[in-house]
Amino acid sequence: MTRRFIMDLRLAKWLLPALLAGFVLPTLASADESLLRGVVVDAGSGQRMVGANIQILGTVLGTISDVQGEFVVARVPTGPFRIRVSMIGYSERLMDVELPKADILRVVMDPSAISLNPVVVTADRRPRPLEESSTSVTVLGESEISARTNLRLDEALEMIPGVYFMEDDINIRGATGYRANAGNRILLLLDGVPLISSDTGGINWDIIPLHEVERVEVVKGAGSALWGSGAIGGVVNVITKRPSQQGILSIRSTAGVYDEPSATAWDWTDRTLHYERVDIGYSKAFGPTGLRVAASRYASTGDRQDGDFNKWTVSGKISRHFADASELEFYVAWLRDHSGVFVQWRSPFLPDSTDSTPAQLFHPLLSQDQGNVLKVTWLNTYLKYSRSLSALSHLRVRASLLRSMLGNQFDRGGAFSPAHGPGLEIQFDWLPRESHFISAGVDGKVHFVDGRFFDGSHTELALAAFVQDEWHLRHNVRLTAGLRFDQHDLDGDEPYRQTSPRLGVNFRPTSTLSLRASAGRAFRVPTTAERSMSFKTGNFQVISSDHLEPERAWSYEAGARQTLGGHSYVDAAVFQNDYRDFVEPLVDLAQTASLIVVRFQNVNDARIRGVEMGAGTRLWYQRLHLDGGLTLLDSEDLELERPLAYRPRWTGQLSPSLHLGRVSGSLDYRYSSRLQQVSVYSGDERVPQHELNVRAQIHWSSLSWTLGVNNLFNYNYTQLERNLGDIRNFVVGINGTF
Amino acid sequence: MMHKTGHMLQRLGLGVGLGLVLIALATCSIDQGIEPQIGVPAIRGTITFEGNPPANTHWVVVVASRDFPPSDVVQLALSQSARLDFNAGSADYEIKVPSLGSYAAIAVVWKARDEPVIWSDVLGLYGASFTGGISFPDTVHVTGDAPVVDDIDVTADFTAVDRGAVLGGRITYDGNWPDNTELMGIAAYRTRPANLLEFFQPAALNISLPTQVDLFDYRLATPPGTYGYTVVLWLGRGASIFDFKQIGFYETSPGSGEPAEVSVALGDTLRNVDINVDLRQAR
Repeated sequence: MTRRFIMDLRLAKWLLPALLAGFVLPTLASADESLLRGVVVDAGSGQRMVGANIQILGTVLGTISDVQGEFVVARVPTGPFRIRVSMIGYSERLMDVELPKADILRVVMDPSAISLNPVVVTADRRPRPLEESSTSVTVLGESEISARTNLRLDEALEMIPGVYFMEDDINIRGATGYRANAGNRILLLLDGVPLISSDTGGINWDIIPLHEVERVEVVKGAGSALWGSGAIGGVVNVITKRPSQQGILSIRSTAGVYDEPSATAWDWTDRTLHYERVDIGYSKAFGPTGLRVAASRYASTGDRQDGDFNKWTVSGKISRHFADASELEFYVAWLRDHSGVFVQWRSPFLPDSTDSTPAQLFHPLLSQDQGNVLKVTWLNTYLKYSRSLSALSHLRVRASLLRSMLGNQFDRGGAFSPAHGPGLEIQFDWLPRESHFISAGVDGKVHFVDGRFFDGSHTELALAAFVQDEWHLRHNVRLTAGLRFDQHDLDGDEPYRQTSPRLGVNFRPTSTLSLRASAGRAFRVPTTAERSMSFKTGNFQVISSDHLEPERAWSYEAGARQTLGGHSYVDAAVFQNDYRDFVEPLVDLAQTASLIVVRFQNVNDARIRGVEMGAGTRLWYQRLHLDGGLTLLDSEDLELERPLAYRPRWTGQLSPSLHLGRVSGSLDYRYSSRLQQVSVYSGDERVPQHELNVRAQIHWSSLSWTLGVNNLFNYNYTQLERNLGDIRNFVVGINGTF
Repeated sequence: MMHKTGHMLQRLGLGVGLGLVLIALATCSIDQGIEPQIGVPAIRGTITFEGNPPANTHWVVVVASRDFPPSDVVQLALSQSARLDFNAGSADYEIKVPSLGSYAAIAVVWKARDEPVIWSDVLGLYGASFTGGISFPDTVHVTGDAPVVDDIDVTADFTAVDRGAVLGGRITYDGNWPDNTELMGIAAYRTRPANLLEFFQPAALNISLPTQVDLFDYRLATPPGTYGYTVVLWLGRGASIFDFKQIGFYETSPGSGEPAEVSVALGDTLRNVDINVDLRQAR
């Protein structure tokens, strides 16, 4: 193991200079370069804008407006060129500029209620307009997030077509199903840095500081050709805000109270059940250095027994722009979470039950196994450096560390199990010819997982190299070809190697129509939790699995996006994902009756295909907004010839909202059809999911008030068996910016 | 001024209207999804025992299965009675079933001490002639109108799991092991099973054979008697128990394709019941 590790490091040691020699040296000698300076301002308020994306077309050059709304792009070739300036919530701006004639540019941005063609950075690991992408991407801006939730980011993500959740497990086009957050098939990134725990491969949405999020990009379909293991079903990239120019203090407070259950037979406590969240953030620039800090506390009694939690989050970001237009950014976030564990509702039908005269078949708000507590501490930090080496080459370096500590009281006395995941990533963007844009890089990560729940200590070394070429065949045709090689070394076993190719094409026959198609291979190496997790709670026991093979997939997609009149769009896609050696949690056949024993196994080949549509429009002078989506999923276990568990055939979203000056009202409706297949309690009643949330907001000066009702009709449904969806709750919030 | 006042009134009206709509929506009666189910659906009856319980008997329960043969072992585990007192001549039972609906089989399941549950170790099935001619079990319907179904009586015969002898021999495997091998088993039948019901009633069964080996010396505990079909079974990963494949059996001579009969007496161990297996059939 040690020897192989050293060999791998040697490989990386030789690979890096080779990349430097290949990409950097040819471009250092470029001549006739100047500085482009500018400032981005809001057309309405005249205020300078932080975080606008500036791209110089025909080069790799680009930057983000700094804390004072200003930008500097170094090494810009002299002569005429065109720049594109974009930002979520504003119309895209194209400007012709000529150096060295140009003075300081003043870019005036017009607010727009709908972002028809935002710049996205996740689909191709570099800024690129959404309509030039060869894969399906959806962007959720800050205003769309804050209009839907003040509590958790995942509540807002569920309004994206093709996205739904099974408890904490995010599904994009049905990739994940339900896995108890062990080995998610969606890769979560924070500012482009993986945010997946080293032990379970799980996602903790609470470590993301909700009010620090600028936008979220969701890339649908296989993403392993650029992002490696874990991106087998898609990528979610959460991009946090940049520090503001002036000192800004923001305080947000949200509180809610749960209604009575819809049935009096389900009343279980005389207490008033409630939740509250408080966020405080401050941002300010000190010369070229910007600072953001935020803290939050989110606590709840829960609406059910053992549904209580208490979460603290602290985060900070420091960024600094240098005179040569390079940028350094440091980010850190810490989470402490103590939560009750509600595994499943109380039922009198467990074997050996002593309850001989239960009042009813089940009690959905009482916990089957009382008193379990989960204690989690996460630390996430990264350091990023980016610099334009010339007009034709750009360098990005990211170092990161994610540390998660898991502890509970199932049967281990609350002992903690630490996992560490340091990583390093280097990426070069290079424009060798006007028609080619090449991105290449190396990526390394080590996962250290220590004992307790995982049958001892485990080490995984993951090394990768990737390259992608974007070829402009014609002015409106772009071909993208990518290849990534990954090597995973698990506990000194025979290394697993995977090559992931990807091919995509984007064609814009008109300025308002964008056609796209792509095919790619993806994979996911089973996590330590899937291979080695071992614990017992109630009548469930998870046991370790031997000889788990990585799961692989081929993903195909074709889609179209049509914009209409600058205020509407329609997006449609057909897709198919073919999986091999799917890793699923299965009930062990040869176990005793009183215990449901689960272990992860490579099961059958599977196929998920479907059709997805999304649309949005802004009517009546942008006062009436209407967004919606509909997804049809056809999933199949190819050997058992039945639908995969936890994949609803239909999911849909509808979000009308009305904006009248300082007052706005919105309605979010979410639908999932009745699950065709579940894993454990197949005999339980299943119903479709209907969830309707309504909200009214009043904006006044620097304050805004929110009143809302979640699950307006107090509709009772389960997605995961024996776990009721949240009962109706009333929410009130106040946000202030000073 | 009038214009501004008009706008304010318009907005106020919209706000009030929205509020009224919300109140109306929150108070109106609509489908609320899953609702409480009061009362406990149950299946009750009496088990009459025949024969002598084997010395290694661990427990006996009654289970209700949604389908037959059962395909959902979890559902079986969740729909069973308390353990029965099998030393009495008979025992009353009650199964609190988790939901209303039809149950295709009510089975008395036997478990050996220190062995995993083998759901095919069935002592009796409601409505099925278990020791005589073959018939399928009767379905029991649990409905909202009749949530408690009584008089589902079953005769349980311990001779179905009595194991006083052992069959033994060598299994020789030919070909490559399929990557998706999940289970390997060996079963002995009085006669070669002619249908699925008979297939799921072996006289003896062991599904714990090792895989990825070239040969294996097995032992199979059986009741004494004559066996006309001793067969090796294979199950693919993730497949249901209906998909067991018969990939080799004890033959009159290797390659003859004719099942050979063996007899074993009480307390005896019969050796040399050797079986050649062609793994190419395990697909």
